[in-house]
Amino acid sequence: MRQLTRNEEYVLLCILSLKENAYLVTIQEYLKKHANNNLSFGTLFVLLKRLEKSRYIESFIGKSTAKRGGKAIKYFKLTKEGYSVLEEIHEIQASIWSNFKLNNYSF
Amino acid sequence: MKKLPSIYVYLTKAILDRDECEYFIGDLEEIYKTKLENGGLLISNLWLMFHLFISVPPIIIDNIIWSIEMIRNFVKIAFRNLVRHKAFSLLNISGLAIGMACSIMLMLYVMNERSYDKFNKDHDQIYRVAVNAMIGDTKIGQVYTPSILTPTLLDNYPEVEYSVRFQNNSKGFLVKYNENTFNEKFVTLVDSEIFEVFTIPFISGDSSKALLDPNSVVISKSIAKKYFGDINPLGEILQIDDMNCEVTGIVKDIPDNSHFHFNMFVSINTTDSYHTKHWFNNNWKTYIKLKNGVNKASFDVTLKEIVKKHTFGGGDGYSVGGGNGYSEYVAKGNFWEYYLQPLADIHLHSDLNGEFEQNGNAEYVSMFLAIAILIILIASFNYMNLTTARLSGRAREVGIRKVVGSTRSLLVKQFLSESVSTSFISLLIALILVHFFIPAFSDLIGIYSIKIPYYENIIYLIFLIGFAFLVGILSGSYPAFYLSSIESISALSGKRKVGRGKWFRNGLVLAQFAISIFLFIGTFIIRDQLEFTQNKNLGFSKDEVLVLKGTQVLDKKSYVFKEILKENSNIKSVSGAVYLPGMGFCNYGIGVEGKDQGITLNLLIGDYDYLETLKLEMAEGRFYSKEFPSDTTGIVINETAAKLLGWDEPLNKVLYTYAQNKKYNIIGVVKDFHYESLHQTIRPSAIMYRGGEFGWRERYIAVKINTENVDKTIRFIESKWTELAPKMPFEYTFMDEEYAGLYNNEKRTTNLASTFSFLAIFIACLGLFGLISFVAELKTKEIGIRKVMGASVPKLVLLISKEFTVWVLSANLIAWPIAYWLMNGWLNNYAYRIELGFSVFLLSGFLAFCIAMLTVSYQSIKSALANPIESIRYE
Repeated sequence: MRQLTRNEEYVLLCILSLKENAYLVTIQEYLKKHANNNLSFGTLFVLLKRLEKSRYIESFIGKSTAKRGGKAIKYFKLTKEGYSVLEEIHEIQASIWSNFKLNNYSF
Repeated sequence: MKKLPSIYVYLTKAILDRDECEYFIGDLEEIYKTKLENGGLLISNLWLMFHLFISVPPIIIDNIIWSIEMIRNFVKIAFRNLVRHKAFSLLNISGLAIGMACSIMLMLYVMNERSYDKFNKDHDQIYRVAVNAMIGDTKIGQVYTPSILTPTLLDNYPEVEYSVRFQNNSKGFLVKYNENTFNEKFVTLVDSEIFEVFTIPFISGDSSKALLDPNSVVISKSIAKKYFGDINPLGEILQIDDMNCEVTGIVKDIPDNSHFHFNMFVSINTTDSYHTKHWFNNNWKTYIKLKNGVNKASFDVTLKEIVKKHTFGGGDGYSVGGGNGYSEYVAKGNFWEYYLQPLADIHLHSDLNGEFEQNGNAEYVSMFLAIAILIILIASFNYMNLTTARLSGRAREVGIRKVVGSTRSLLVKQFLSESVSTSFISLLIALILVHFFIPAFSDLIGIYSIKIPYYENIIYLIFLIGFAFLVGILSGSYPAFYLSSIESISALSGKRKVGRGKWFRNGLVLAQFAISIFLFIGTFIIRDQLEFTQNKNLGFSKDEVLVLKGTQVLDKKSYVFKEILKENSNIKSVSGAVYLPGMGFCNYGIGVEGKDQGITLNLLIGDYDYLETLKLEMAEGRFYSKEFPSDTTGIVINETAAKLLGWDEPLNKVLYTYAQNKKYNIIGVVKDFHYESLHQTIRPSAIMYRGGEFGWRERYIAVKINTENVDKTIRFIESKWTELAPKMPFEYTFMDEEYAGLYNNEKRTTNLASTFSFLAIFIACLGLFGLISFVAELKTKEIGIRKVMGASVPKLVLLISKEFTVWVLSANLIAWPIAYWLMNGWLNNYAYRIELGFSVFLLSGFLAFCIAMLTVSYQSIKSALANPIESIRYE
């Protein structure tokens, strides 16, 4: 398993929580809203491409709408590998965090 | 509802792959419309613009990362292919490498020639004043100017910042320090401001004061080492001819790419001659530096004024013909003007009377530039040809790649990167070749200052890489675009359209051989012309003449020395001279009694035996003789001068010199002889007796010797020399060698041209060889079947080689007219030239044809002799 960057991790989490409705526009909105992380299209595009190449996510083509000028939507969803990567990260982080108590620290 | 403006679509398409941008544009459009619903048009546009803008860098970086991956794959495949076709790759790469190496070396030579004098700071403000004049029928182009010009310029024309006079002689000075005496050629008397005008850095001494006082000399580092070794030269006294000079400064040696290489600078006020106010006493070379911003063209006009006001003004100097003024002078069809030569142009564009050293020749430089370009053309045609031939065998690969999903642009990229990587390998080999062959090349052209500027000059390196890249792209482009256009079905079904590249390939062969034949013709003509000039009857005999140099040290003992030499039975005659044919002359303004218009004569100066030693012939009258003591006031002119003066009876007419106003009777007319190179027609000249006004010390002693026992004779002369002039350097040359030196440029050109034209045809043949192997391979089956059906070997050989034969022969039709036109132009430079015969053209064409046939025959005979069973069986 290769080390994921923080942005990649966020994108994976986004796709997880957006369920069936994860594509570039919604992911960007979601990230901005919940993680206060304002990524440009380009960065996001490249991130998605990279994750897809690493097989953590896969894409499928949805329907086209008039709002999109007749262009189809490219949706993303997590693969099994993507999900297990997130699980692993969560485990590691939870175990690390459990040893810390933020409010007890004296300066 | 508004649509997404098309500008965004274009931008996206420019940076994204086609299949990906579809969705991306959809996403953009959705966001754009959401924004429009919430806000104004302008804000949405700005927002989108901004976001698109910051999206570009990550996408591009990502693209680059992946394309590097792709290129790595291409290069890997390229190398696999190279290794698979070893012989082909060897031909291909070595041909290109040799071509590149040739071009690089020639370019280095050209760059070196063009760099002359540019090391001087502000070289574009420095000029030499030269003279362009017409007196009678004689055209004068010289760098000799009067001494008075410098003070006139400095006093009256504020736009002149500095003006510097050089007074030197080509024969050299004898320089003595303690017991050591050497003949130094590169000595000049010069104004002290020379170091302000030219960039000659001082090692020690003060540049502004070094040459102010009389009897000061500034020497170069190498001279300091030669005479003084480890002693500090400052303050030491050097004896230079009659002058005792104190060393006041040491400068760095002048770089090779300068049009003069003086190593001793003597202050000009050491002698008195520079005081002369005579405007026609032209013995100085004047260099000026104009003030910043002064225009050359406007100063040329100013110089014309000077001629009217001063040279012919009769005011502060003499004037020709008693001060009649310039208008009268011009009315007779004469003119006299000064003009400026930009310093950096002197080396390549100036060939005037009185140049410091033999200059380069712009024409030859452009010629070599052209050869460099032609050779690289041949080499890249070759490369293109072989690559096309080789790649067309890979149609199947193209088919499969297409089926698997490769796009056309990807295929083009693949073939291009293949040819580019091959050309880079060639560049690498070429650089190694250049490194090893530069010494040989320097020998060939006789210039040793050529350096390979890898390290100093990053631009040069970038240029080379760009060059290799260009050759790669050019030669890969045809196969790349042609092959990628093959439809996968036809490629896979084995119906290869090999014939389609045929015209292209044959066209390239045609071009290659046209260039080669052209180079052959050029080489032959240059060689013929050189031979012609060296074998032409010069009107005097330069064979068996030994010339002793630096004989001025003998001074009054010279007479005794000559008498001693004459007693030796191996020595036919001996003559002391100040100037010998092919070894300089001086230029004198001469007045004619009874006419108010003077002429300019080139003077050669010698003693009584001059005529006999050089085997000159008299046309009329007689030569100087001991029996006529009055001959010291006689003059012997040549036929051209006699014709110019226009007398029916030239004998006993009187001429006088402007310089000292002495009268001379014409006692004889000598038949014309070539005292200069054959670039010049014979100009009016005279042989003066060495005495009186011209009683200068003999610089040379010419000795006509027997061809037998030459070594013994030379040893005899040397022993007598050491008796009379102990510790003085004994230097001699043979006159024919000295004369051949006048054609150094031509000789160099012939050497270069012949070497490189053979290399060119060699490269062309490498290509032909590769091509014929390719054709033979294609026709293996056909040949096998023909052989089975009963075709004879000669017929098969003919079958294979005939298509190339036609092209090589028709290359002549292109090469001949171009060669005729260009070479005829070149020959017109010569006053005495050969006529262009048809034989040279025929010979060159035949030679190229033979070489091509030799190349072709090996492969075609080999495949014609092959056992048909082998060839038919191959499937």
